[in-house]
Amino acid sequence: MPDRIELRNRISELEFSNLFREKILDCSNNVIAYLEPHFNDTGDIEDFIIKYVNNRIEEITHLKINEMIGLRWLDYDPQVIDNGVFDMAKKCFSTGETTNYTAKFDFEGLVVWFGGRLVKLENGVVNFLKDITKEKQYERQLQIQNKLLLDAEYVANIGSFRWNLKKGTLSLSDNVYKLLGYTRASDFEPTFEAILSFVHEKDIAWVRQVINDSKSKKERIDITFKVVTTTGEVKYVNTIGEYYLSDNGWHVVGVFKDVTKQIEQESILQAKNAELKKSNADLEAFNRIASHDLQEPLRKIQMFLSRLYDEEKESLGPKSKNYLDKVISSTERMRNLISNLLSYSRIEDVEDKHIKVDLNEILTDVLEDLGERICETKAKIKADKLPEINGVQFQMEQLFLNLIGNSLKYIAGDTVPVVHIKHSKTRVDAIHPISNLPDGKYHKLEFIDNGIGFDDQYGERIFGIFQRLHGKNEYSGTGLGLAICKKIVEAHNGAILGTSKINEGAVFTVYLPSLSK
Amino acid sequence: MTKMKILLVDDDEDDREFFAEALVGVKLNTELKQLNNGKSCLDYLMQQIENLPNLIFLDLNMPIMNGFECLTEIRKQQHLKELPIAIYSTSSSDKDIEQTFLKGANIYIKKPSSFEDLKKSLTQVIKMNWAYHMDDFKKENFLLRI
Repeated sequence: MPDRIELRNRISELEFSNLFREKILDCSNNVIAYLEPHFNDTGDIEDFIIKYVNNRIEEITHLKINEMIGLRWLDYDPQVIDNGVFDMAKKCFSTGETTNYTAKFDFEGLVVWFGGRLVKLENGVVNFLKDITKEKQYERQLQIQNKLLLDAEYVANIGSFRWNLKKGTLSLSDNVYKLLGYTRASDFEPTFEAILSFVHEKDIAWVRQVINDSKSKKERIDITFKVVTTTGEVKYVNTIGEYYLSDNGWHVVGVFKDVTKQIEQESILQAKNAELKKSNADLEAFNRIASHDLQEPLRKIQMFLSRLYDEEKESLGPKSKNYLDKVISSTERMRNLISNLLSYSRIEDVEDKHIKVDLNEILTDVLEDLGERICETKAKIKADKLPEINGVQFQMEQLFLNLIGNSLKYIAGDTVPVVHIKHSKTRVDAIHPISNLPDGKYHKLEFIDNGIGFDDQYGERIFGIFQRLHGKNEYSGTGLGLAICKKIVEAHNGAILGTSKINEGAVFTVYLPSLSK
Repeated sequence: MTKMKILLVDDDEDDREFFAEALVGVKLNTELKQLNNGKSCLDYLMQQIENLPNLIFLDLNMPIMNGFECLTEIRKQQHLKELPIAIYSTSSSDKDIEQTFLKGANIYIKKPSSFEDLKKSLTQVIKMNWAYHMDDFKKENFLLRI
């Protein structure tokens, strides 16, 4: 029965060959499907029957091969209509032309991108599908990053470049063209020399020199120079470039940045600084004039007046003596005014002379200075234990002298002045909102008196220079006392406030930074 | 008792007159020599090796050579290093005062605005100067600001 044996051998060969073919197909990295057309009554392709799919499809998706073989393609996977693959398959079968495509599939939420190839084979079409989902994701990320980079360049007014030193090619981002005045990138062929042609004639020589030097040493470039754009506008450009070596030789990668505004603002700032220096010098000159040239003749007048008074006091009539007294008190007032103006203008000069100052000692010294006035008025002055602060001793003395002096001065009739100096500690958030003090702990010093007080609506005005609430004949003063206090406190990084009601005394509150943080 | 020899260097004629009158007024057995700028003061002191004044009052703001320059030049001379110098100026600037002490002045007097105050200041300084010359205290303690 040789025929039978041969037949069996033949069948077994065939089975082996089928198995071999299937194994081979399954080994492929790509999905391979064989589709046969299904015609309607008029002979047009209505659908395809899925005849074969290799098992690669099960690895990429959750689909099962045995659930799809023999089914109509459109029934099984209608999305091939929407993504156009069905029509391409139809065309491929009718024309016999091989078709390549990229299509997106969604298998119940699993998105897969395929790069496909449709090939006509006998009575059907073979669909080769390569899973390119990862590549697509990378491509998308790259697109996003490129977009971000371009957006960032646009926002920061920066353009980027990449210069291949070996080939001499230069690639520029859109913003570089924009910076040079082009509306479209195609209007300009980017080369190193072409870029240099935009550099201002005053800068071209040294720019070329710096770039040539850096090319030979492979040293980072960081220069700012002027360019003249296509529209004739002069701009300042900062260029930073870094060298790196790749398989294609040396490259320079870097940025162009339009720094025109910064440079212009810098030069405005420099001009303002120069102005400020000049006005400071003027102020210093004024100080000198005030300290010497104004005081000098005044001192002489006072000296002559004192001589005149000594010599003539016995012989002068009452009227002349009254005149002379008024001249003497007026000159004394002027001397006070000049000396107060001077101390006002000098408060900020001593910033670096801050030392630890014990306010209890300051108070003792000030009360000694005011001794005569305290005796005259029988004033009662009581104080809490005061803290140590960081400050300028003589300015603290002046602050205490002015505040306590005011309490002794602005007193109704024969009232006995009572001054209470209270101390407590506070945090910045508890301080009146008008202050812009830095964070931290503060000493709160309250100078409370029983004097004539003031209308609370003048609470801020009283600290202004030459602000007086009373006529000179009612209460003496130069209108500078509280202005000096405010400037001293502010020079010590503190704040001062005044609150009061008419005839109910005043409270001046001084905040000074605490030594302990 | 020998008279204290005082040298006043000031370009202001009125101030020299006030000074001279006040000095007579305090009756402290002194004799006064007056000069009107730093240069003439320096020339005078270079000639007076044997007969130096006991105390100099030096104005700051003067023509030809001002008080600062004069003070510096004086302290450069070996025989004048210990000579008591009182600055006598209108300036009340802390910077000026500090400068003069750094340059070797012993006393700083801001010119007073009344004749009585001037007499008081002179009395204080002259008495202190006597004590200094009697070796009652050391030179480094001979510093005063009025």
